[in-house]
Amino acid sequence: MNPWMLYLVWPLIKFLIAFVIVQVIVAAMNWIERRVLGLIQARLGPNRVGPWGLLQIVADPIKFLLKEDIVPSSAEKIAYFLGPMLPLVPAFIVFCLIPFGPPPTFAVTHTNVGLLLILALTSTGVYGIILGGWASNNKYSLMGGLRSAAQMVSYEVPFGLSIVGVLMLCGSLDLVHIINYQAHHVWNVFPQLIAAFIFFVSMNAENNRTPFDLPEAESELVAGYHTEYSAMKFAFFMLAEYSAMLVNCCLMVSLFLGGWTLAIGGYGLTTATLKSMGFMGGLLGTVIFVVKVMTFMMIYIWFRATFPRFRFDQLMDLGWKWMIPLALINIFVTGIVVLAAPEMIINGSVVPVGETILAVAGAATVALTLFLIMKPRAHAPKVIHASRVSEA
Amino acid sequence: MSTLTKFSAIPYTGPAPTNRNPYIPSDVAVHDARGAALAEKLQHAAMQQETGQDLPTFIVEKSAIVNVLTVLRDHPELRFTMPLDCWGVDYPRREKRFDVLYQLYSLQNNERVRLKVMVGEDESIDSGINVFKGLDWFEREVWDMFGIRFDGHPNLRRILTHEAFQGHPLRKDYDPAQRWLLTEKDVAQLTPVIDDRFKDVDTDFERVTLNLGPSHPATHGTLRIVVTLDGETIIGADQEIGYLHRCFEKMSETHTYQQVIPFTDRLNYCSAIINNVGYCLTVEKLLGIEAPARAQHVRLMLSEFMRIADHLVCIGTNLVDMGALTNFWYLFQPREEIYGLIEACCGARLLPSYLRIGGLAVDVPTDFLQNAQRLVDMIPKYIDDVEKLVDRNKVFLDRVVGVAPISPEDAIAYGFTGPCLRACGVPFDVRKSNPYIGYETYDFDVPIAEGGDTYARYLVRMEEMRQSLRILQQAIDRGLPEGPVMVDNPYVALPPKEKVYNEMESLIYHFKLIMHGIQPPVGEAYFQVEGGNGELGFHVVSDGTKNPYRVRVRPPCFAIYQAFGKMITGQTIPDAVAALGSLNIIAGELDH
Amino acid sequence: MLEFIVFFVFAAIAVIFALAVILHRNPVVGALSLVASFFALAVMYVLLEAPFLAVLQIIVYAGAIMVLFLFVIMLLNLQHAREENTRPIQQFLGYTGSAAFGLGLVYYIAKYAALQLPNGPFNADARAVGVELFQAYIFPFEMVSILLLAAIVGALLLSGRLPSKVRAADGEGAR
Repeated sequence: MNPWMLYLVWPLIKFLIAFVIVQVIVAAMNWIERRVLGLIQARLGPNRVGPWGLLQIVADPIKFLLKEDIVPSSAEKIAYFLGPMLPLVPAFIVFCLIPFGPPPTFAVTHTNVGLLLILALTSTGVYGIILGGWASNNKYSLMGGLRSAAQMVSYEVPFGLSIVGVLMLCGSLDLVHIINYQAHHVWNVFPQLIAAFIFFVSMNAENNRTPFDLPEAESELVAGYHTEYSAMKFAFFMLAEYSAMLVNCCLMVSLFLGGWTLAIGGYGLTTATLKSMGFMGGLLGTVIFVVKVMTFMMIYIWFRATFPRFRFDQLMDLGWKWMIPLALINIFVTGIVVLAAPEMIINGSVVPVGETILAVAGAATVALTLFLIMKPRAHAPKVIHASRVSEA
Repeated sequence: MSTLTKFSAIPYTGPAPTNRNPYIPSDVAVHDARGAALAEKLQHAAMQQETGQDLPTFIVEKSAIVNVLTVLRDHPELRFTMPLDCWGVDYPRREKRFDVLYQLYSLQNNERVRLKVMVGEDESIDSGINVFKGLDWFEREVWDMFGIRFDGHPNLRRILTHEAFQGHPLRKDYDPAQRWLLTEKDVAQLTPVIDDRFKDVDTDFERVTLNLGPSHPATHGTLRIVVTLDGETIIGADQEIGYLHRCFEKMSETHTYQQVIPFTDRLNYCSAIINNVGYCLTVEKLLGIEAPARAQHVRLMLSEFMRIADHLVCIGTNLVDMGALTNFWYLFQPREEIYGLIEACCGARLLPSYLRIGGLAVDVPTDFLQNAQRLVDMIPKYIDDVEKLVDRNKVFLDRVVGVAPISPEDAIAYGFTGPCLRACGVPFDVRKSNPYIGYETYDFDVPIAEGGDTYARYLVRMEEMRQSLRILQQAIDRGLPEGPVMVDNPYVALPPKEKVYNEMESLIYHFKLIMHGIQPPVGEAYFQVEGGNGELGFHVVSDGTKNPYRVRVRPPCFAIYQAFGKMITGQTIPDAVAALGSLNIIAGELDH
Repeated sequence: MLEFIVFFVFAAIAVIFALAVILHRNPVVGALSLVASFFALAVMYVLLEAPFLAVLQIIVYAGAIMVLFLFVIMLLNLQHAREENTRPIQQFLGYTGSAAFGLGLVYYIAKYAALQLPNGPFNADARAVGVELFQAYIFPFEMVSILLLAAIVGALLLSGRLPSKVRAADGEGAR
C-alpha cells in the first residue's frame, strides 16, 4: 500500500471515527451521569429535553456555545486562553493509541511503547489546570490549581508503579500484547489485585473525582481552578475531564480486564477467535471493550454518589504513605514470584503457579485492609442518653 | 340561619381587658420567694430585688455589675455559669433611660436569674466580657442598637448594622426613615488576631489572609469569615455578621402583636413554627391565657416535626460540604414531606405563620394524624440510610472526628445551647429544664455526646431526630384532644364570621380587635423554647398599647457563632467548612 | 525529505522556546516555554528512532519536573516580583561568557561528535535500555540512586519543621 495511505490517511480516518464516537460517549456520559446520580439520589435528573431527557446531550453544548464568554479583566490573557485548550490535546491524541478492538482494523496506531506514550500524554494534562488556576488571578482558582497539581503529581507515582507489576507479568509495553497475554493466561486483575486496586484509586485521584475532587471542592474553593471560566472554555475543561476519565477506564480494562477479549487460558473469545469471525468479530470485540469501559464509568458515578471528600492532607497521606509503599511492595513480590515460580506444565496444560500465588496473596491483603478499615474506632465518641437535666 | 345555633349567644363573662393594669405573672410568688432567698444568700449591697417579675430579678447598681456577675458565677451554691442573654430596653422619659438586662442560668440548680442595670444616656457600663466570654457579641449588639458603651470591651464595633450607619436604631427617638449607604471605602477591613499558639511558630509559608463569604458556597447564608492561613492551617480567624439584618426587633415595635408572627418565621427559617411557638407562648404568658389543649397538642407535634426538619437540613448541608452529595437528597426528601404536612395545615410551607396568639390560625385537616403517622413511619428509613452511608465511612470519620472541638466549660461560657452544647456532654434542654406545652408528660431522652467535635454534633442531631420521632409517636397515640384551636377570649381571638355578621356583641369585639389589637397588661415577660439550635427566648415588654413596646429575641446561633473563630483556629479550611455546617448557623436567626 | 522538514521545524521550535526561557521576564511563561522546548526535543528523539527515550523525556521532564517548577513558581507568587536591574558589568560578563561557552560547544560538537556516528543500527527500546542500565552501567546507576537518596534526606531535613528551640540553637531561628 502507498505509505501515505498507510501512515497518514488511513489512521486519520480511523482517528476521526474514534474521535467522533468518543466525543459522543463523553457528551452522553454527562447525561448518563446525571440520570444515574438521580437514580441513586432519589430524584429524577434531566428528563425534560426530548425523550427521557436525551436531547440534553445536544442542549448542553448549544448552551455552552451561546453563553457569554467572560474574561476577567485582571487575568493573564494568553495563559487564560491556553488553559482550557491544553488538557484537550493530549486527551484526544491518547485515543489514537488505545486499541478498541483487534488490531489493525480497530486500533488507530500501534507502537511498542504505547502504554508509556499514553502515560506521558496524560501526565501533561495537568498543565491546563495549573494554567487555568493561575491565569484567572483569583485566590480560589489558584488554590484549586495548586491542589490539582500537587494531587496529580503525587498520584501519578502510584499510578505508574501499579502498572509495573503488569508489565513484569506480561513482559511488554504494548497494550495489544498485554491484552493477548491476558486472554491466554488470566485477567491481570486476579494476580495483580493490589495493583488493580491502586490503579483504580489513583485514576480516581488523577481525574479529580470524588472522593478526590479537592481541586473543585465547591464548599471550600467555590469551583476551584475553573471558577472564572464560563461558556465554551468551561465546557472544554469538562470535556477534557470526561475524556481523561474515559482514557483511564480504557487503560484499566486493557491492563487488568483483558481488553476486548473474553477468554481465560486461551479458551473463549481470544483475539484469534475474533479475527476468524472477520469484521463482525472485530466489532464484537469492540462492543465487549466498550461494555467493560462503561462498567467502570458507572463505578465512577457510583463513587461520586457514595463518598464524602478527603481533606487535602489526608489525600496526600493516602497517596504517599499508603499507595506508593503498597505499589512498591507489589512490585517486589511480583518480581520474586515471577522469577521463582515459573509456569508449570501438568498433564500438558499450563498451570500458572506464580499467578495463583499472587492472586491468593492479593486477596488476603485486600481482605486484611478492609478489615482494618472497617474496624470500629476506639476513640469515637458515643451518644449517651441523659434523661435528667442536671445534677441536683 | 341554622348555623347560628351552633354558637352560644351568651355574652363573654371572662376577665375584662386589663391593659392599664400591671402584668402579674401567675407564678409570681414562687419567683419572689426564690429572689428573696437569693438575696438572703448573697447579701450583696448593690443588688436590690425587684418583685412581681416572671423570674427572680435584681436591679443592680451600674458600677457593681462586673462584681455581681462574678459573684453569681462563682458562688458555690448558685453557680450561674451560663450567660444566656444580654439586651437593652429604652425608656426615654426615665431619668436613666436605658435598662441593660442580663439573664444567667445555673445548670447546677436549673434556675434563671435576671439582672437589670439602669444606664443614663451618656453613661457607659463596665463590660462583663472577662466574666463571661459569651457576652462579647451581646454587648456589641447593645452598643450597636442603643449606643451604650461597654468599658473594657476589646472590640466594641457595630455588629448588626454596617460601618457607615449613624445613630442607634433601637432607641425610641431614632427615626427609622433615614437611609444610610455603605460604600466600599467604609467596609471594615478585618485583620484576624493571630492566636497565641501560633505567634512564635517559625514558618516557611507566607501568611495569607483569605475572605470566606459573605457569599461563599460553604456559608449557607450571608456570613463572612476572615481567616489568616499559614500554609493550610488557620492561625487566626474573625467572623462578621449583619449581612442579613432585617430589623426584626425594630419592626416589631410598629406592628401589632399578631402581626409580629410572620416576622418570627424569618428568624430560623428552617424551623419556622418553633419560632411561632416561642413568640406566641411569650405573649400568652403576658396575657395570662393559655391556648386550648388541641392547639397545644398541634403546636407540640409541629415543633417536633420542625426540629426534625431543622436537623435534616443541618446534617444534609453539612454532608454536602464534605462532598457526600447523596445524603442531601436522602435527608431533604423527608423534609419535603414534613413541609407537605404543614402545607396541608395552613397552605404555606417554609414560612407558615400558622400560629396565632391564643391558638392556631385554622384547625388541622381531618387526616392530620394519619399523615403524621405516615411521616413518623417513613422518616427513620431515610435517617437509617444516611447512617449506613456515612456513620462508619472512613473518609467521613477522618473529616469529622476531632474537628473543631470545644470544651464543655468554654461552650457554657460562650452561652452555647441546644445540640452544640449537648455535643459537649452538657445535658441542657429547655424541654426538660423548663417544660412547656406538655413536654413534661412525654417520655424522651436528651442525647449527649462526648468531645464537642463535629462528629459529636452530628451524632447528637441524628439521635435527637429519633427522640423527636419518639415524642411524635406518643403524641399520635394520644390522639388530638377535641375542642377549639383558639382561646375563647374575644380580647384575643376574633369571633367566628357567622357571629360577626349576626351578633352586635361579636361585631364590636371584631372591630375592637382589628382596630386596637391585642392589648396585654403593662409589664414584661420572658419565655424560652427549645429551638432547632438551642434556647430560643423572647422577651416582650408591653406598655398596654396594641404594639409591643419592645420585643427581644435571643437567637441561639448568635451565641454559638461568636465562638466559631476560636474553634477553627489551628484547623484547616476544609475543617472550618465542615465545622460551620455542623453548628447550623442560620443567618436569618443570627442577624435577626 | 519529510524527515528534514520535520527536523527543521521542530529544531526551530526548540531553539525559539529555549531562547524564550531565558529572555522572557515572566517566570511562568519561561517555565511553559521550557515545556514546549522539551516537546520539540522529544520529536528529535523520535526522528532518531528512539521513541522510548522520547516518551521518557515527556514523562519525566514535561510531566513531572516542570509541573513541580510551575508549582513552586505559583506558590511563591513570583509573577509580580520585580526583577532588580542588573549592573552593566554583570550584563557584559553574562553575555560574553555564555557566547563563549556556546561557541566552544558548537566547535567541539562539530569537531568530534558529528564525525563519529554510532556504527550499526541504533537500538534504544525499553529492553535494550534496561539491559544496558542494569548490566553495563549498574554501578553508576546505583551510585546515582544513592546520590538521589542523600538529596531527598537533605531536602527533608531542610524543609522539615524543627522545634523552634533547635533552630534557635542553630542560630537561625531568630528571624
